[in-house]
Amino acid sequence: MKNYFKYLSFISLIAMLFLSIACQDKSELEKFQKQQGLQEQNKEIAKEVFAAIDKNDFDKLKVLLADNFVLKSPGLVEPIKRDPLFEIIKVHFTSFPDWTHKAENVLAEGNKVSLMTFEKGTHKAVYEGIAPTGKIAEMIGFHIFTIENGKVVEWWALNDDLVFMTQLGMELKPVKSKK
Amino acid sequence: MKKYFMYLNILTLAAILCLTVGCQDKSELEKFKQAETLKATNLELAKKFYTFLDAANLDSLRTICNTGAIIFYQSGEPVSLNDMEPFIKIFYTSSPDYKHNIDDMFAVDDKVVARITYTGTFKNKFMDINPTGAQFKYKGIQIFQFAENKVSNFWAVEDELGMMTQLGMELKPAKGKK
Repeated sequence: MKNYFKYLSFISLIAMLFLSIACQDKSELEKFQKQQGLQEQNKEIAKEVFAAIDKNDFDKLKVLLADNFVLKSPGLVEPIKRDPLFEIIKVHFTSFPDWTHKAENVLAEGNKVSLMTFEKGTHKAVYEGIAPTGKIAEMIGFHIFTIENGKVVEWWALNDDLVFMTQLGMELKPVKSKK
Repeated sequence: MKKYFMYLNILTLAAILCLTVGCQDKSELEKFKQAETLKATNLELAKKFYTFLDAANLDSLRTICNTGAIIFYQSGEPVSLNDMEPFIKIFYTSSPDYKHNIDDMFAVDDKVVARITYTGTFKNKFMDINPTGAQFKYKGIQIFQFAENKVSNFWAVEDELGMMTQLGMELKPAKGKK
């Protein structure tokens, strides 16, 4: 009888030990799994932004971009808010009505998502003073989104503008160049 | 006696169940922890890459890049580190204080994403452009992919137009165009 009690106590202690370790690990595991779930969600949001831009779906963009959203990009004097961004998109699609963004290499960590876009469209109307060429222009873009509570709060955009403008018939020349 | 045996069996089964579930969770948790360790290692490797690059230390740079490492720079065709080395020398000769300043960096799986501000002083000729002595600053985003603690692939897009503008260039219609 004494042996049975000893064995019973020993097994009880072992069971409690495993249970407490399992609970700790489970709690930590759940944190990682929750983070992973959030990151996957953020990746989809980032892809949806470009899909909405390509469709000129500004109602969808209003849902995806936070009220305090800003776009940051070289060449911008200051960050662009959501509504002015919509105007920029409209101007771009007037010049390139079939412009598309193909999103690839989508990476998410914490509240950040980075992705590459392979973009192209046909130059059908004046663009930044350049008469339409009718040519298909292509551009690569690298982007980093910061996403909070399911909405984009910041978008850093880098595009290979030089190559793009070269395709529209422009070239680099020294300022005040002599012929 | 029978009750004691019953309790004994139940507790033994409970212990085995906890052990099994605990082991499964632990195994999955270990995977996440290993991924975090890999990310931390890769972030340090990326920082080392910039340290070597900004010292124009190509010998050290080669030690943390795979011999077959591919570089995707701007919209250009993929090139090797050997192909890029002459351009690296041109950049750092033209601007000996050329520097990659890390604004933001994060790791995902085997990749590291870095948002960079490049700075430097235009001290010596760059390609055909005479030096102005001006300080320049422009932005870029770079992505590293690592394999076995070395750079295996590298992508970079930077504001080349902004940089060239600061070096005294401007966009004009190409010859024959108005």
